[in-house]
Amino acid sequence: MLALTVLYAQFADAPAVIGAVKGMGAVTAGLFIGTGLSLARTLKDNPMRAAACAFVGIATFVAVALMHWPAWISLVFGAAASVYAWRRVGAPVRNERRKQP
Amino acid sequence: MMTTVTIADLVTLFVTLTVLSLLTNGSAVAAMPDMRRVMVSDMGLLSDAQFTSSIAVAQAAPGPGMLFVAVVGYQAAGLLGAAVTLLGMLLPSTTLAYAAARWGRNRRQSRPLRALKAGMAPIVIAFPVASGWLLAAQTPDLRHIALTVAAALLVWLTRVHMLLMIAVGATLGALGFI
Repeated sequence: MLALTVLYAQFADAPAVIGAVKGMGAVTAGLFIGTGLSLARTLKDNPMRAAACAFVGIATFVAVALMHWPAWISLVFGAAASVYAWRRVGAPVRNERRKQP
Repeated sequence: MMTTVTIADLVTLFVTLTVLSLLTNGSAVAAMPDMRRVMVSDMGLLSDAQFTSSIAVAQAAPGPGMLFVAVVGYQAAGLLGAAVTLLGMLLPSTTLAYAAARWGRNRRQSRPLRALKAGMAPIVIAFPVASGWLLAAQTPDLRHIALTVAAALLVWLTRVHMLLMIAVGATLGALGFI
């Protein structure tokens, strides 16, 4: 891949190359967005319900994409969301504990 | 646009990537917004156009997309830059992933672990979307956006191969439609 990069650097000024890279950039942006969206269906079984998941996801998006907050803010959001999820995951099954003598 | 790169710059780069590596265990794509902020806005090591093109080149080439960090490093500071960014990104997260996998294997059903996974899931999903948005926002050109939207929809709703889409994008761009 570095070979490709060096090759690219050589031809970077050719208009066709510039155009191609711009086109690939646009597609890549779409790939990222599409990947995120298609991963959203894994949230179906999340202990947090749809509203909470949507809230956390949208909050993260707004913070990072629109307000340009630094990435570590995701850890703060993650901690808060995890605490909420912890309560929704529910207490461990108590019967199993009581069975032990 | 490349300012002279000093050793101090390389060290800063390495530390930044290390921190990003720890923060973005979900996917390297999440590192993109911050890498851009530090390397283009703060340090001025390369231009926005160079940064965007790095991502495009890395996606087009075979291999994991996270290698864009190496391409960005190369454009900023040559081979040394590429090595610094790649190592910075790889070392902490692979170490951490290894340790976490060992720790988590025996505790898979633990409530805090399940809660952590559940809590982080929407965030891990939001990051690629945010990165894509930031990438697309570079060129608020109608045809550009249309291409981005088309690619997003295709990935989301169909099984069209990603490389095919990249190739189409490259062709359209080279022919001057974008």
